[in-house]
Amino acid sequence: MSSDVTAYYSRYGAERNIGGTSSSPVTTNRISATGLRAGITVRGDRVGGRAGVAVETAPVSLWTTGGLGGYVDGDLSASYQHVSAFAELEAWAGPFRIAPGVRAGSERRSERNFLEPRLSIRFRTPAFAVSASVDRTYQFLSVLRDALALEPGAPMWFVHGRDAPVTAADGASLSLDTWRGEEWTASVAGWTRRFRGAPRWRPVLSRDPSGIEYHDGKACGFEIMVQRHAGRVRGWLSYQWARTAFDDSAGSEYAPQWDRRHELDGLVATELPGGVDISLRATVGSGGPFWFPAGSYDVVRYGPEQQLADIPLGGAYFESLDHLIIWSDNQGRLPTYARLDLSARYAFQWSSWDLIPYLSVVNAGNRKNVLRYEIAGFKGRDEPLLYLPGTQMPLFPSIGIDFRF
Amino acid sequence: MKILSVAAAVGFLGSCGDPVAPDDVPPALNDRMIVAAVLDPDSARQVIEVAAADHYARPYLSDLRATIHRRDLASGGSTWTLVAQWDSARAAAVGVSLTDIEQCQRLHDDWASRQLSLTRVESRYCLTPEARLEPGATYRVEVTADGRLPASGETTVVGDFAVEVAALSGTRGSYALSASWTPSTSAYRYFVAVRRRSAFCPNCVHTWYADVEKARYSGGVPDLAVDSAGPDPQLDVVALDRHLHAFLTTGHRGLLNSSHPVQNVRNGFGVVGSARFRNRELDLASSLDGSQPGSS
Repeated sequence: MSSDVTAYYSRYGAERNIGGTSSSPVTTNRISATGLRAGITVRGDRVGGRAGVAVETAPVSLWTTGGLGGYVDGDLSASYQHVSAFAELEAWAGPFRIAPGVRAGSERRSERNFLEPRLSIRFRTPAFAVSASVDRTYQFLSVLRDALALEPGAPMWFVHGRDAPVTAADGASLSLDTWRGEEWTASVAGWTRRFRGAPRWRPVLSRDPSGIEYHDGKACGFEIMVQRHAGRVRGWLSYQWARTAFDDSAGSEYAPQWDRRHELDGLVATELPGGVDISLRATVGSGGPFWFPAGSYDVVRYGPEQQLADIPLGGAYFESLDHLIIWSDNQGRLPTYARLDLSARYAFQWSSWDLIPYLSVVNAGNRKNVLRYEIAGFKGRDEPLLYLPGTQMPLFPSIGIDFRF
Repeated sequence: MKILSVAAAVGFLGSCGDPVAPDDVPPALNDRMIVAAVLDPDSARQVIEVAAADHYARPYLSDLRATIHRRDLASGGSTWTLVAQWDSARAAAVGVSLTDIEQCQRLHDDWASRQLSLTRVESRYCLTPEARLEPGATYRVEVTADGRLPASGETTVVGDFAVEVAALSGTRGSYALSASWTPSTSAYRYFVAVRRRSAFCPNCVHTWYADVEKARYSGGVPDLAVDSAGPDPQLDVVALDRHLHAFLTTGHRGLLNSSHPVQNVRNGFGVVGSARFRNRELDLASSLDGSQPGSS
């Protein structure tokens, strides 16, 4: 039997300046989490277990300074105090391993209680193993993500409001693993998951956080993977099929940005004569979902100008800076994504130092993978819209050297 | 063991390809409308510009109608009284068409301001209900069209005001503007500007103006603003309600991270706001001798 106690503190910070100027509003996100965990672990030949308690408290600040029009308008700051107790058991009976567990938690500020059970069972033979698991989890801290846009930068976290649901996820998985010595492994895994109360934010009319909606959804998929861990040529090959769909408040189904139907992923690594390690990684996948643009309107600023040439009396008191897309409710898919990355490295010693020069080429085929679409032209009512694809990283070679001493 | 890494990279973080027309694109529909209405008590007719939100697929609107309602304070503010309406039949009766966007030009005594226009598509509509509005009163603009979500927005109309002081002084590098005016009822903020005459500044990109809360401005003016003001510089002051101010000062389109402006049209895009414009020739202080505006 052993016991442990862990005290911790962690801090997270992120900022977004909408407009990119010194006078633009700045949205700031801060999390300062303080916690204490204590647990007891019991190990036996056939039965083991672990139980403990944990408490974590954190203010989560999300606010905008500098006026309206920030990433989020208003103050979405809140805090949580999560107290929980957990117990998990691990038992072996012949080829079976059974591991039930449960966590009971309470978020004190919103007076909400959670019960998160889980169970996993594994059946193992010398040639293969079959595993199955079910679990339920809750989440009251989520990322405030603009569902209509691709957003670079650190995520903005917020605590679900007292009147908002807590995100719940019920999952089940089944997998088959097999191996041949320590060189080859292969696996087939399938999973399904159901979500309730997942936040979705499409801030078109207002960046007021009251526009956050909470939707239900489901995801399922499977993955087949073969790996070679040792030998002159190593690597893996995997294929994944997945589907994720949510229902909006009107009952219409939509795919979230991370939904990708097919993905084929492979890596080959080997050592060439002379000690040069090379690797090649290739990925081919379905394009992600996006909403087709329906129209646009202008970002307008006050512009006290008298255009003498245009209008005899003259005067343009509003000037258009740019246009913003109005999205439709029709979703489409970006084209197939494919990328080939190459790298080579060579290690040698110089004095007491290990030197490792390397060459890396990202997207060696310079494929123009589409990241997003802009409207390029509108010829007329019966003419197709022209889209201007914004592409992801093109051919990107880099060289470098690691010094180890 | 310590690790020191030195790397050099050559490449670009993204690029744009040639325009394409993806296959099997469904009609991209959105049942909302874009509405821009700046109510002005100085004018006997109000101008409301409307366009379809999905103007790429469905640019035309039918049975378009705009109404203006006034909040009835006698009932505790819960009821609204219709004060003006406009549709194609009323427009035809006075010899105009709703598609004649030029009528959205707002005429003043000696100059014109272009109505707030939120889209450059050809299929825009201009509705001009006749209504004298009362400063301090709250009005609701409603726009309906066949097959579209009814859009509406509310604003409290800003009051009358007059420029009292308008003086420009200083020399290049230290121009100063001193201006004050009587407060405008219900105004949230004011824009103060030296009017730019584009003929004098063909390459100007941004127009200078100050965004102030009080009914006065005392501070510097960029050289460019004075240079482009012409030989007889004019002071412009605009009183705005909070909705129009928010709309005109927010919204940004970035490469990846765009935000829509703060707006108040329910079931639609755009703004229903209120503004009044005042203009006066600037008094030029003697210190401007030798560096007259527009002379550079």
